[in-house]
Amino acid sequence: MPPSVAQTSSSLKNLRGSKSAISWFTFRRSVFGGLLFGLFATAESYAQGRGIIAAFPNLTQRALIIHGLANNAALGLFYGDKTANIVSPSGYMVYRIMPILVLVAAIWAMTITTKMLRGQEENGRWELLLSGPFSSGQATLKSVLGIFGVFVSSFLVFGLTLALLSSKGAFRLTLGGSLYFALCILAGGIIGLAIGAITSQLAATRRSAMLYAAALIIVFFAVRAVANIINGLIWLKNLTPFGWIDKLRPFYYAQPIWFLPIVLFAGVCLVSAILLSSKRDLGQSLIADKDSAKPKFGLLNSQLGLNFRLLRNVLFGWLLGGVAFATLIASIDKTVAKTLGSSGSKGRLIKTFSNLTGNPDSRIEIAYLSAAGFFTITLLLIMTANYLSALRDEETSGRLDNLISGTLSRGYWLYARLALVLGAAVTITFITNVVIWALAAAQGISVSFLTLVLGGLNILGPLMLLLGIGVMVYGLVPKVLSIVMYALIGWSFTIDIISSALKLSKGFSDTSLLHYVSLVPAANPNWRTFTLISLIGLAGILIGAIVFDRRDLQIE
Amino acid sequence: MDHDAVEIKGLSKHYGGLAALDNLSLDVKAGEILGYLGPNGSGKTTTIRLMLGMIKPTSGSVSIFGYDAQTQKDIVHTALAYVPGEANLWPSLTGIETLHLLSKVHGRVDLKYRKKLIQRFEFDPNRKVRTYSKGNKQKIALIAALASRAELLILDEPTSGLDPLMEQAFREAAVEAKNRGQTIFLSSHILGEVEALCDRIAVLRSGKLVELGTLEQMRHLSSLTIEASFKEHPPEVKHINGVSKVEINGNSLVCQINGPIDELLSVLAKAHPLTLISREPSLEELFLALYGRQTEAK
Ligand SMILES: Nc1ncnc2c1ncn2[C@@H]1O[C@H](COP(=O)(O)OP(=O)(O)OP(=O)(O)O)[C@@H](O)[C@H]1O
Ligand SMILES: [Mg+2]
Repeated sequence: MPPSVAQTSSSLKNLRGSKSAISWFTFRRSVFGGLLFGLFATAESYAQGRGIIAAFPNLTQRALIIHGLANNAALGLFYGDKTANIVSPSGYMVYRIMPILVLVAAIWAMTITTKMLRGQEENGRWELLLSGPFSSGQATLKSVLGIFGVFVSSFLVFGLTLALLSSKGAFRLTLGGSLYFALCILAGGIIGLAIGAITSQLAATRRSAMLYAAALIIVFFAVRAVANIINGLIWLKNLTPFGWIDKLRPFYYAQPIWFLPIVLFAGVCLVSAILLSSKRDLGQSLIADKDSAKPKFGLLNSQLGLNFRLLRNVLFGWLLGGVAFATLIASIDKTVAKTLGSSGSKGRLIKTFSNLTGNPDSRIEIAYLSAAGFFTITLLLIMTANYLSALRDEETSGRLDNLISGTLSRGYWLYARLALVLGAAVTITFITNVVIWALAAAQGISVSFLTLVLGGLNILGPLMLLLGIGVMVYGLVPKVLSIVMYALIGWSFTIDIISSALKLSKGFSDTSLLHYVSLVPAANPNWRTFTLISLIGLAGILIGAIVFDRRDLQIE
Repeated sequence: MDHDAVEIKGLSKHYGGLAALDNLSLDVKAGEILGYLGPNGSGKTTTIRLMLGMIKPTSGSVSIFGYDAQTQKDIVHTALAYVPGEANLWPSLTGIETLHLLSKVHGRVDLKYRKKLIQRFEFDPNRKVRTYSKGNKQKIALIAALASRAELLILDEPTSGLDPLMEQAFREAAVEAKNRGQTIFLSSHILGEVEALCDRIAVLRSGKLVELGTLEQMRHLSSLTIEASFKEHPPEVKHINGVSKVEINGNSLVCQINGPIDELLSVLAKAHPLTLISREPSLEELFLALYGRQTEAK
């Protein structure tokens, strides 16, 4: 057994002594992410509330413009519903950010839950836990409690920092209000936990557990969106956990009664998950995966082929996500433009969507169309961070040993992997932009194909920068790779949102990856910046690759 | 070939204050099977990862067929195949797909021989790696390495997880490889395997090489066990040069002797023994003694 496996297993064995050890172990492994999420949520929420005040200091101004927003049902896709009290800054904050934060919380919770349950079972650690005085069901329960503990810390950090930030100044919230708001967001986490726990019992691999869970979450979220958008279907909200969370209504006619179905839903899911895990055999699942398959050698003759074979499902999922986002945004473009166009100060209003939408004087439908690029870059950045973490996993799991003990060099392996993610990023950007262009054309909005599809590729610049930083970190301090990547992404978004509301010094906003994006077609791509940061990224990749080639490989 | 298969010179690897490997020098002749033994954590895997260039030495060097293992990996790796102690493979590929992939990675494969090995190891190659037991995963790595017919096989506890029949199959294959002139560097905890296969044995303890030689040479180095029983109380032997571990149990005596045996024999003979047995140490005893000295020293 390699030493660090021996260490992990011995630390796991030590756990057996104490009753809460599994919970504690689970808690420790995820709490950092929980704290980060709490801080991220605070930054995003505060920036929204503070931002609307900065953009429209007086109430009548706000009322006029926001009236337009509220009447645009299409925005209910990602934002709150018509009943929200958007005119008040806290109401606007809830309207703009709550559904998105709830969704992020659910996805994040689902990710850690499937990792701690099915993931650990898949890599054999679960067996070590079970050699202690626990049954499978108890171990599941204790892991769930550990994740619950992470939510509690996340909730406290979020609620308290938000209350602290908004205790002075123009944007004020009460302590109780902040905590209740944080609780509503974390309810999304509870939903993700419940769904992840169930799918971990159903699926044979962590990957499929995540897939099922993601599908369920998307369906629930889509039902909520439909209820918001289509007149007369508002009752659908009663059928989805995300609808229940909307109905909690922080700051304005709060209805905590809706915690009841949420708790019930989570309770039923978790109890079933625990029962299922205690009934089934270790390693078994309710939905069986195919155990054998006809061999297909085609892709196994080269590194690029192998990587594609191993990662194609994941990359295809990202592509689908990108296209779905683009479709949603582009297909409501005309409606949005109509609503927003009729109200004054549209430039400033657009600015509250993102700092990146570019030239405020551009036509409103063009500006809104550009927001699709914002989602594409978000998706690509997260995909890249994810991909690099998987790269490190290939090394620490020992799978890389099989390849580089042969004739393959480490550098070649790394470059082949990077080529694949870059290729995927180019493809996703290209296809989403083609989709956007086609949907815009279908609505009679003329956008130059070249501007959109070629110009759109400028978002690959910051991606190269992120890759460069990532590969350098991977070469130098591989342990902190994931944390650095996600922290950098979180930081970039926070800076972007804050700077859309407040004037930040230039040096500050330069530290955001998003600062280097020009969202087409509203803004013209800045190819000088693109070339510069791409070259910096490339240099990072080269240096990182050299360092990686010379350092010790690590095994966990 | 002019060069030894493996030449290790003054090789050390430190992790912080810990010397995982301490100034190891060792040659493996082309065509021999070298058994590499040592207690857990003594540095066997560390040596192998240094040989493969996966980690960098703190000092010293390894050359394989005359090429440097760190700087000339591209040449070195065309000549070797490696089986890790625990096969970590891609769960979504099937057994045969993995074998195909590994053959591409090795750059060559004897397909006829691979077929034979698959049969001999009773391996079902059409299932997904995810569903294989530990032993079956180990078989994939073993079959891939053996079928590559590489000049040098570096095997890190290759039979861990294999049942006795499969272990037998491995031994056959190892002998076949040796007969073809392949060299094998075999790290193992299974003494029977080492005794049956290895031309020479190296024993490592706490990162240091403590023994190197054939099994016969090692046996001579170590002590004989003498057992004798008497009508009355056994004679006093403790003072005799080379005698140790004297145990007296009623009228019988067990002791060990290093070096010339005549003085001990004459003392025992004078006391008119009823029975007298002398035996060489078993392999287990030999290694328990070799491994154990460390614990005594501590
Ligand atoms: N990356 C590392 N960081 C710190 N210590 C390490 C590392 N790798 C190995 N060691 C230490 O080096 C020593 C030798 O480990 P090694 O894996 O070579 O032992 P081994 O002889 O292969 O043992 P086993 O028989 O258990 O396989 C151990 O004490 C181990 O803890
Ligand atoms: Mg080892």
